[in-house]
Amino acid sequence: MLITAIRVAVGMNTVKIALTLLTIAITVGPLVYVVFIYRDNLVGLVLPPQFANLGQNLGQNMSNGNLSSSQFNITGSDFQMPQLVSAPQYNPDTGEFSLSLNVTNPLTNELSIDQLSVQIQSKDNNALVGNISIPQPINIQPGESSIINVTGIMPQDMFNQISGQNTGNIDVNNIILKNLNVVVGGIKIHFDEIDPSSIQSLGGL
Amino acid sequence: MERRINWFGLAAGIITLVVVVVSLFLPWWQLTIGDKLIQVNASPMNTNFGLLSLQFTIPLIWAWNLASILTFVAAGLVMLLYSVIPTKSYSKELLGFSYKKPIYALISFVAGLLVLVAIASFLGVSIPVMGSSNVALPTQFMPMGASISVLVSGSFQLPFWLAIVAAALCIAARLYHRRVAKVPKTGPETAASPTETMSTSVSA
Repeated sequence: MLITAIRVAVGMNTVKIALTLLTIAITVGPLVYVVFIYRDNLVGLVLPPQFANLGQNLGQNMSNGNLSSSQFNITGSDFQMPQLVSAPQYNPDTGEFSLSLNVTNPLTNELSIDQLSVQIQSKDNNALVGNISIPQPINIQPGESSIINVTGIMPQDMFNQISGQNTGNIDVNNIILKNLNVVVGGIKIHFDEIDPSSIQSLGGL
Repeated sequence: MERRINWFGLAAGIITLVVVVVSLFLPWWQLTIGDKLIQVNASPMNTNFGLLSLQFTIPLIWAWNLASILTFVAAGLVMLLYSVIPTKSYSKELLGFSYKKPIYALISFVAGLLVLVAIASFLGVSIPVMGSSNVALPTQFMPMGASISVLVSGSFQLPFWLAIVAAALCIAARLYHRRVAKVPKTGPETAASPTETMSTSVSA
């Protein structure tokens, strides 16, 4: 009777010890494994490898003085700058302009731009000199390209400046973008005011 | 001779293993920002993040996920083993090991989620645990008078509800253990007792 009781007690303890060791092994094991893998780069434990590569690319580009967006590969496919489809159209009588851009969606998700509008103000006299907007929402399927029409009103000098026919009368750095509203991918972004010259200086352009 | 089975434990073991399999493909809780621009797939077993088309995880979280998978698998298997031998001397040890794991995991996950939401709320960002809402980012972090608002939706997925079922069955298995592990008395009165009729024991 006593021997049986001892055997039972030993058996229970054995099971208990085995289960405790199992708990420790399966809890600590993966952690030790990952720490061992990243022993030379402990920051990598909390920084995803994709972002570590992105940080390296960014560092190299900044050291080269090159901040071109096409250098970044966060989406797994190279981002392409929008291409002008044809020469921008401008009506000097009304100041209305329109241009078409070919935009490629590098994402694996549908890209939707529901709204894009901005007012252009002169720095000299704070006068409203024009506006830019897209007349209708845009949906671009993953990996596909679409033509985006951009319309607006602006002075001819500014139009010439932007369209590459620089007449020298208006400095693009002398304007301020007001009330920029963008709705892209379900995110509403509003800027009260953007100074293009400050963006250029930030980009080192 | 009568062979007893803890049916609640058997069900708990099976559901626990099902939770593991389903959790490999679906998160317990998903947060979607914008039109799937950013996704947070939170789960004790497969937490990952989506930024645009990029899916990534954090190695430390991956290790924690792997530990959780192993823990759940061990708990499920041990619970199954216990269920068919609930009257052995060491069965209570097996039960004690296995029934707590899904419960602790569930409580830890919900607690962690609530803490994260509370921290976000403290920073001025209101994250919906369930449902959708327009979330405006705090303007003090925005340059040039910018304001950003985005549709954010959070939802619990199938594995979370399965985990609740598994946890409930684990509790039931623990409670039922007292009855199933009780040494049966011999005699005609116990064989005819209503509790034994309801019992899930089967004849060997």
